[in-house]
Amino acid sequence: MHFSALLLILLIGLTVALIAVFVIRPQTTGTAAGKIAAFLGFFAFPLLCVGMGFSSQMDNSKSTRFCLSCHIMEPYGRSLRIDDPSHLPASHFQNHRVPPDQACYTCHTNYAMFGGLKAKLGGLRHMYVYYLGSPPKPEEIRLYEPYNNRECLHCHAGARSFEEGVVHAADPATMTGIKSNKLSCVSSGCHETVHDVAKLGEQKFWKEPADGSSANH
Amino acid sequence: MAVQRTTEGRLKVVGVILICALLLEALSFLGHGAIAFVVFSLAAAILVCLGIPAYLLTLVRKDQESPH
Repeated sequence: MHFSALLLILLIGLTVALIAVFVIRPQTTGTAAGKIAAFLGFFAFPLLCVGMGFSSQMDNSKSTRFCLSCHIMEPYGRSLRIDDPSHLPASHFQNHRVPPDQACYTCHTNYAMFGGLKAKLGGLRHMYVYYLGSPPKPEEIRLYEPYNNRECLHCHAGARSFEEGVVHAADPATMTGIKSNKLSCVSSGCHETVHDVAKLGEQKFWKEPADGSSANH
Repeated sequence: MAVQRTTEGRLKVVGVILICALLLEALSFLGHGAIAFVVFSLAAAILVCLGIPAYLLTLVRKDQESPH
């Protein structure tokens, strides 16, 4: 358990104990010290607990483990371990081009203004559909919008491997098309193999090292 | 005296709401998946958001009802 989580649990324990005193003996609030303690217990500490909890839950919601906690996402998690470098998510995950413990969020967030918020709202929508709606089959899941090159360029723009890539730099129109999102990075003939969950049964899978250093989730 | 009992009763109710909220929040930290997030955001956070204004309302009403 992280130190911040431990601190939060301690704060919650302290707050519950403090409130319990006032629930059992409400007359304690009669004194000035009691009023101050009541203010801390009923107002300041719960607010702090919720604030810290919110921050912690937001961090947790970026984790790969969080995204894969829904049964429907399991095939997508497995697709990160396909032993084939032509599979884009697998090669990013296995080679740490994205942080393995935040693999989903890193590629599926939105690197525009309020993009993080938009991604979180999208996540809430997923949860609504998963728990209260009728979720589709894993292979039928589609993005709400076509994948935007902006998310790829957030990391790759300026990188030598991208800027001087044989295909990328072969024609100035190609590079312009990529950077203006007119030519999708995941279009046919380019990096087209993404989460191919329908054909998982035909794939070989990479076995992680025993220490799990490549995917801490 | 009756006013005092009412205020104390309200404090008890607010206290129970906040204790429930905080226990649910602590419970949400046992999990790492979407259910933990739902427990936190739809139960714990909402109960705290109800409990704190209820406490502040109790203070305001106490002031209004207090004879001095």
